[in-house]
Amino acid sequence: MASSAILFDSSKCTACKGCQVACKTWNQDKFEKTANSGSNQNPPALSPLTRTIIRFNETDVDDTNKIIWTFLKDSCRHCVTPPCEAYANEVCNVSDAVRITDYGAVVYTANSAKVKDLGDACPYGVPKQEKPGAPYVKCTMCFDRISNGLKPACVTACPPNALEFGPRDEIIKLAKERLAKIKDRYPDAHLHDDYEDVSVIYLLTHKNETYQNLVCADHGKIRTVSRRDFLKQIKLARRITNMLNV
Amino acid sequence: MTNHWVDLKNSDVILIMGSNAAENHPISFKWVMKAVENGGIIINVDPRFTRTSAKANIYARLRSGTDIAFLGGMIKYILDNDLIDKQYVVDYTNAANLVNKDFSFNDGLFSGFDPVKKKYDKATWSYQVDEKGIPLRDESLQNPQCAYQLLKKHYSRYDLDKVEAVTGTSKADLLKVYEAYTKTGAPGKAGTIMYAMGWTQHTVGVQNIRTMGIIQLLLGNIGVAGGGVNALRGESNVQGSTDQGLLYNVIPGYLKTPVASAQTLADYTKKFTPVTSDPKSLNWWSNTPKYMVSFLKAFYGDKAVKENDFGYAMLPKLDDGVNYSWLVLFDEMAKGKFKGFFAWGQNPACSSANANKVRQAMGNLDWMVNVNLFDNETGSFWRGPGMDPSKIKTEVFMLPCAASVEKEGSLANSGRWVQWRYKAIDPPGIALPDGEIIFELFEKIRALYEKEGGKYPDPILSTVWNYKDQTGKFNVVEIAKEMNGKYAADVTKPDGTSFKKGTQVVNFTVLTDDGTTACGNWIYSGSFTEAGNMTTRRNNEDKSGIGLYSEWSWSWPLNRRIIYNRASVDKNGEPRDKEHPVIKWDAASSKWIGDIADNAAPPLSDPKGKLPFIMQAEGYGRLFGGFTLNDGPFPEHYEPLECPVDMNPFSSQLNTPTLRIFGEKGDGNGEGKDVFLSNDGRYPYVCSTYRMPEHWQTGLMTRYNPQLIELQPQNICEISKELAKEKGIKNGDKVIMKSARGQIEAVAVVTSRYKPFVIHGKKIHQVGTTWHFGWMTPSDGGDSANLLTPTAGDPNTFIPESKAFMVNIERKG
Repeated sequence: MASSAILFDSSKCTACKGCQVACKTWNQDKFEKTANSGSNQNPPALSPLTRTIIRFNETDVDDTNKIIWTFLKDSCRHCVTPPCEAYANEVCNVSDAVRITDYGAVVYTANSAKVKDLGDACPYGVPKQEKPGAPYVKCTMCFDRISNGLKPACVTACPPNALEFGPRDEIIKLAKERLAKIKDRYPDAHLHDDYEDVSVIYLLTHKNETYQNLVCADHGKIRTVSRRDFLKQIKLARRITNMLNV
Repeated sequence: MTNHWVDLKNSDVILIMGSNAAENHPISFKWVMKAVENGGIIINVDPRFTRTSAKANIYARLRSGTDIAFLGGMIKYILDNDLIDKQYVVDYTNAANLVNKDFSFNDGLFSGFDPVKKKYDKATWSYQVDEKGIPLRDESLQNPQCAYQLLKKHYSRYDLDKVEAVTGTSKADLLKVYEAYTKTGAPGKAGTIMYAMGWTQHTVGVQNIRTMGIIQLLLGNIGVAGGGVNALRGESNVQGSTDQGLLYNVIPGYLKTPVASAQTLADYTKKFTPVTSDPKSLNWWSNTPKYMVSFLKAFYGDKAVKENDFGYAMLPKLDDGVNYSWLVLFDEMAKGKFKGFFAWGQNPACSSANANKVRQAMGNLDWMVNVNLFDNETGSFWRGPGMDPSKIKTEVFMLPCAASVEKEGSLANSGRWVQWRYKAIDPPGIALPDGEIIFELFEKIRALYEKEGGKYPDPILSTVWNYKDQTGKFNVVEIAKEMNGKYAADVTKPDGTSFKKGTQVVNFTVLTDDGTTACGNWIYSGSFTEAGNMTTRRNNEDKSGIGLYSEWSWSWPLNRRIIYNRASVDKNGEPRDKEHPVIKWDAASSKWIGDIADNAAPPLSDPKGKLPFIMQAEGYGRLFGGFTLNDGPFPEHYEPLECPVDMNPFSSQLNTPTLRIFGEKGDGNGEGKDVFLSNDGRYPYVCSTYRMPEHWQTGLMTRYNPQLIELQPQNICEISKELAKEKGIKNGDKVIMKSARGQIEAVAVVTSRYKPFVIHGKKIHQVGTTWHFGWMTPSDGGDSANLLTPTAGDPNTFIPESKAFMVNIERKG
């Protein structure tokens, strides 16, 4: 079975949060008690109960009365060579905590509960656990759906077709075609530079800094480094970065 | 919608103004995005930068309530630069028609105004006609009295300086929008408008839409693929309920509700059947008598005979000139004028403008029946904030009803597609589908009349109520069949074909006024024929190439997907847009091919040809029009009832002259619960209420849903960074929003998406809040924003002005 991927086309996303609802419904995740903190972004961050969110970011453009309001679907990027797997295996010596399925989906098993601080190994701050010693929770790419011929729940739900799902090579091809198509309208449009390393491909209409820098750790504590730099920095990084060929 | 959702993809320019489609009609963006992929552009005009604006190629801000000034400027731009679609305008609109010489417009008032009654005598809002009664025309458009020249004169006043001063939109942004949109005047280019409550909920609501109708006619955008005037309906079956006569002034199929001055069927048909002497005009409403008699036959069956006017006398009648719309009903309720109230599938304690007045008014009732999925702020009004249950006598009955997936029936979407829907699961407990509740209620009422008699039982006892199937149970299919219509007698046609009594008619073209056909709703005729229920069709093959999907469900009328499509072809029946042909005349077969043509007559160049605007008596699209409206034949800018200014640069009329002021007469500001305060330092900020995608209407179906309340847990008050600084409000602070009528609490969202406006040289702030919340749940969500909104309505529809009123804001605590 070929590796699969999801395209997030920000030129089409209207931030309706249909993906958030579809994700929670399919995974039968519990709901969070939230409060409004002055933003449409709610829940405010990924959590053990919330595997995907839409991030909202406003950027003022000089003083021309214009603003850029971006929407970004945040969830596991399903790395081709996941640092979380390397970290679990090599640093924590916990085997079979992270599996890469035939479809390229990265999933966590019950064994992940034995891994300490798995979130620290993720450039995107994705893995969450309810408390120390609990298994980690994140997007599974709906491998239970895709192995039954369905698309991931978020992709199926998306009204403006901002999410596409398919074989990874085809999705990358589509992403490049879409980029060429929107470049006139959005001169800053680009594929996020980690696209060769991940299976959730971001086609972005504006510069990275207008998207909460794309790296999303905990709410309010946004990391601003690239995937590459992040991987260079993390604890016991040498062994992992060698493995990941960074 | 004149067009339909899928058709948005054919548009070259999509103007989203008066709606926030990405947030409130999220599925529409499936098709909007296809238009963009096809090279189309989105223009968004809104006081606030929304999720729609984030997708727009061009965004312009305007102060809420100034759309006519904005669009009036566009009309001037079109005419000054001669950007009209000339052939279309001359051939298909009333641009060339000569208007009554006594028609005039002076200082904000049209001819015929009675300042005491605040009403217009509309006699001069008419055409000059020849001896046969056919309108006189000057197709050179030079006659100073032709509609085109009058239009030009009227909007010559809407210069950029004035428009900028009123709307707060910069001249540069105005020009950007005008230039981009008016490119669709080129033949083969199509522009569409997606509007919703942002246009209707104003005291100039109807005229907002008229203004865009004029622009669409000038640019040749009506009847074409990717064009039209498209109202995005706020609920999935609002279109259907309006089709079925939900509003007081129409009965099913948009026939006029009988009035007291029309005591006989002859009076009715004379009063409400428009006439024309122009052989080129089809004047479709000339069929009114056929549709009305067939409606009466459906209503009263064999009790409807020629000798008794087909039972016309039994239909209830409105008193002439009396308004029975929402605001008026609740005003009467507040005065204790009626005793009982069915709150059916609604939550007026939260949804109605000036909700405090409404909540108080409900305490004057003897009884209320609340038909809904759950208890709500309406059914529980007596235990709401500020209420003393011991002093309220109203007895409330709760009838739980089935949700959409728990019942079967048809649903008409904004694009007039009527789609059959099946029941997925049984309703819980004793909940019943609405239809079944009404069915049983009527059976009980009729049994009481049968047993006890009473005053004038005839209408109740004569009503046909055959909605049971063979199993003896209520069946909604029987209603669908009645809407389509059937033969009410054995009929043999002149061509020899004959039909047995009870046979379903093929469509409304065979309905008659002699009592041999019965039809519950003429516009639905054709939806359930002898061939079966057309609304169940699910063939998703598009044979048209322009996304008509003609065999998917069924659309009224006659499965026509684009209304006025005869305007999409030239006089010879050739499509003017070769890439997106809607219909085409096939001379060989003497037939139209493509969509169902708006009438079967040959093209206009043929001696038997007909004009395209068949629902207008004269057959032309109306630049000069609004003949039946209460507030004028040309749209004119007037300020909202509550506004931040004390002058209107277009005239000395500040508000629309025919506005009805509710409340006791006093200082002219309304009084008591209907108080309003304009240009008053205590309420300095313009406010709109709106929706967001995470919630639905008053939130009854979403606030109880943990999945959705998680996404938007509390009501918000969106304000600009500038205003937040002035008021010392930080993002996430609790604030109190106050109007002259009430106050609510909300979480401040401080954002660059609102900016202050400069209006007549003065800085004016605008703020906004949603109306999704209510006091019952969640406990920290906030109460309804309709506690703030005024009792003020459009002079025609009386839809409340909830998009433009004045408030103050303070940080809580």
